[in-house]
Amino acid sequence: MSWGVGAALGVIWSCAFWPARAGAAEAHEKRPDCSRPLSLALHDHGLLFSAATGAGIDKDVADELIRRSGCKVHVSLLPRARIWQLIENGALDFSLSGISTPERDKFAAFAWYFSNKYYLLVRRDAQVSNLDDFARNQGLQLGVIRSFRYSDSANRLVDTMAEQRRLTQSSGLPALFTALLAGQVQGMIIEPFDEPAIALAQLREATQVIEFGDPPVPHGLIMSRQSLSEAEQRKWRDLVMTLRRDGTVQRIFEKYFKPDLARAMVAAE
Amino acid sequence: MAARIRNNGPGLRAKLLHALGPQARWLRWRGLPGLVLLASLGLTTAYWHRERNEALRDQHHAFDVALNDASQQMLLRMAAHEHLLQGVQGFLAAAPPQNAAAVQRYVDALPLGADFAGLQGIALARRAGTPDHPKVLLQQIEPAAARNAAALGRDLWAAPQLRQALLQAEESGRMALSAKLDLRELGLGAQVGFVMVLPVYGPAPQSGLTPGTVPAHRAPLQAWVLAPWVAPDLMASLYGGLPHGLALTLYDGQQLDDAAVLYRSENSGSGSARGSGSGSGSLSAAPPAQQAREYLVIGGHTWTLALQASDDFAARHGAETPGVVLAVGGCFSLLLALMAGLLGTARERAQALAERMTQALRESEQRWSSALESAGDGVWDVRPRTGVINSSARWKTLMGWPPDQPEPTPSQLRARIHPEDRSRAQVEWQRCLDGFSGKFVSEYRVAAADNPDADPISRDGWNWVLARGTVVERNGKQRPLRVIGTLSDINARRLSEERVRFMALHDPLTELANRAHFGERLHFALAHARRHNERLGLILLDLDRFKPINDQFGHAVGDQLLQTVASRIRTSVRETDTVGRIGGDEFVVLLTGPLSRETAQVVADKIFNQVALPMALSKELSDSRVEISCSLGLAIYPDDGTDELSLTKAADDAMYANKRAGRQLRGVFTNP
Repeated sequence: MSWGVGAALGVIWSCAFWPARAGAAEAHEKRPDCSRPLSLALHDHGLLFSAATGAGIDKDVADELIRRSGCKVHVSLLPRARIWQLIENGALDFSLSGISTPERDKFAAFAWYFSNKYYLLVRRDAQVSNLDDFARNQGLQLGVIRSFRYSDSANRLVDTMAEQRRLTQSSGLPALFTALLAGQVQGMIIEPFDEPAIALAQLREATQVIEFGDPPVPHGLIMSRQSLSEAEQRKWRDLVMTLRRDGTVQRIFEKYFKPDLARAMVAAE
Repeated sequence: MAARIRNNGPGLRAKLLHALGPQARWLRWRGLPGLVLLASLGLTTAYWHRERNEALRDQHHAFDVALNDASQQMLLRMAAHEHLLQGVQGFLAAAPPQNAAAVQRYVDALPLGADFAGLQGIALARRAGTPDHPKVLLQQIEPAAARNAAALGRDLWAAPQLRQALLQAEESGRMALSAKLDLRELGLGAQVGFVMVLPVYGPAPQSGLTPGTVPAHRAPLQAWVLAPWVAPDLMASLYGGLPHGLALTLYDGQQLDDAAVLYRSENSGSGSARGSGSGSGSLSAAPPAQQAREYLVIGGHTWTLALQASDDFAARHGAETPGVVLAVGGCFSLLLALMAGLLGTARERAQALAERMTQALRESEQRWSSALESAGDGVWDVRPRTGVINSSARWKTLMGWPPDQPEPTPSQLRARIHPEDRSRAQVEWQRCLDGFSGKFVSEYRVAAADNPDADPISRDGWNWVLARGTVVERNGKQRPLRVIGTLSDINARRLSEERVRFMALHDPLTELANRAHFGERLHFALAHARRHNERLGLILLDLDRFKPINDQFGHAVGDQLLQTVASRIRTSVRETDTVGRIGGDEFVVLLTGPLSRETAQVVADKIFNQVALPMALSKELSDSRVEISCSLGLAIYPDDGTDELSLTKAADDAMYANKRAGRQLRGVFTNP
């Protein structure tokens, strides 16, 4: 009799706690694999991350991802071009705020967490009222950050400038603003989080903004296909989705942007 | 349509071309070559354009790769140097503070070699002074070389470029790069360079980021790690082997002037002059296609890397290929057009050439033919192997061959030659064919033509001709293939020669042997008679009272009389006998062959009787009948004489004896 009761109690016990254990196991399976240290690189780019302050949107997102994953992640600061090289060959696991291109899709997977439009910041004395004007005037130079890609129209402009040898490259954003003010380039492509770190009034007086007219381009967590399996990519993607769903991304953006703009940038697709 | 023309044969094509007339000619001579030239030049231009674009693309790509390599090399090298300092930073953060010996050991253990060319040392600096008069003193520098030791205690805060870097490093918690400065002023190096600065904080970092980054609550700064670098040495180790044709200049900041130059490669020009970038906002001229700059943001500081490509670089990446394509293509186009022109007009030109040659040949043939025809000569062309004879009309006439008939065969030709001349002519012909004589020259008689228009000169139905020729073609075995020559009418000449020869030996009036000729005949006859022991007869004849008849009737009648006498004497003797006239009315007869006194007497009697017959001689006014007698004297060899003199004297004596006797005796020699 006693063994029967014991068995019954055991059954009742299992039935009561089995879902919880199953849930815990399931939750465990959803967490990314942290059996090895992972690597994540940030690049110095305005409000996304500032090497001077050590703060930024990407810094905050990285912190949150690391915390929630429970993984040991080495975070470093690298030039953007180097980041893409290391992502491609699998020496770097993650980066942030990357956009997709057909070439990048071959070696990188993405988890979107915000989107934004691109704009052409052009000197007023360049006498440019639209994109065609800029392309037509052979005396105008366009400044870009090496390895950056943008929206479709912006990419077309960049490629045209490259063919015509009218492109000036930079490894960082501040140098492009300085060059624009100095007249060494006459235009550069900007995003809402590009912080000039120079006199804003002087910049506004000397320049004007021309829209590319393209829809917002999604930016997201960059995952190396070489170093992370499809399953791990899915897990990290789910983690990013969690951050979006629970408003974490919105809160992070509201630290740096007005709520309306932040909402527009992080709106779910 | 072209296929239809082909299928219908060349006739239709020829008609079509003929119908097109001048247009077709223009098409062949100018249109086609022009079209080919245009098409070929077009293709050449298109290919040149493509090659030029390809070459430009290659040059641009190579240049872009070089620029990318140069910028990436710099960023990687600076990152590596930052890592070096981060190691020191981490060591200092973990090690007990102010442990100079430990720092020395640490720095000594670092693999500072060629990979860190330009590094003057690793230094520690700490804040000193007061908040109103802050200082940052250099407290330790390793390796502790003598030069480095002299820098200890220097106030780094006094140098503006360093002050900015120290502040930036403290605030950002990351590596900061100073602007270009003269390390000699700080005692940190021998040339211009820059300083890398990293902050060292006290407590351990609270974030997952690398040590030295500033958490939200800034930790107190312990010290700065500094690494002074001599720029030229660092850059030279990085860019010592630039691709050929490229020149690199590294500027501190974005002002591209000489004062900002950190490094210039060996083959770069002096002076940047690439716009002052003074912030005036003016539009700067766009740099040429093979000149570019890139901004390198390192440690919160910007360097500008300017790369230039010379023509040598372009040449090494196919810049010369389009020119070669254009030149070769242009020449090829011209050649092709020329070939097209030549091919298109080949037939016409060949025809024109053939016509010219034919015309020239025709004219030459006409000239020679006219010349020969004018000279009265015939032309012949014989192919000995086949026996084919080609000839002119004149040749046929001379050969007595009907002009409307085809040329005779060789056997027919031979048949027309006089039998006495045939074998000699054949020998002469063969000698020429065999090459023993350079030319064929032969005189022979040919049968006169059986037509009323035949040359009347020929007396006996034979004409003398002179054939001359030469072998103009032989085969490999020197067999004659073709003989060409002329045929000349020499009948008149030959007859004239015979006449002259005859006249030299004969009396012109009577055509009897003259004295000299008769004497020669007598001499040879006597020699023959002596040899063969034969008899000869010599009759001397003198006309009686010829002079009065001559005087009475005139010289014309007298000549006729003499001719008649001569004729009667000739008919009285045999053909082997010789009759001569040795004086005005003196005749002589030589009797040869089987002879006796009696037979000789018979001949003498016959002569006497024949001469005595009446003669009907015509005179201007009326015919006259004349009778004349003669006196004869006969001498027989060897009976009456054994040589010319004695024989002649005996016959002469007998003639005069008869004449004195007045009787009509027959030359019987009598001894009174």
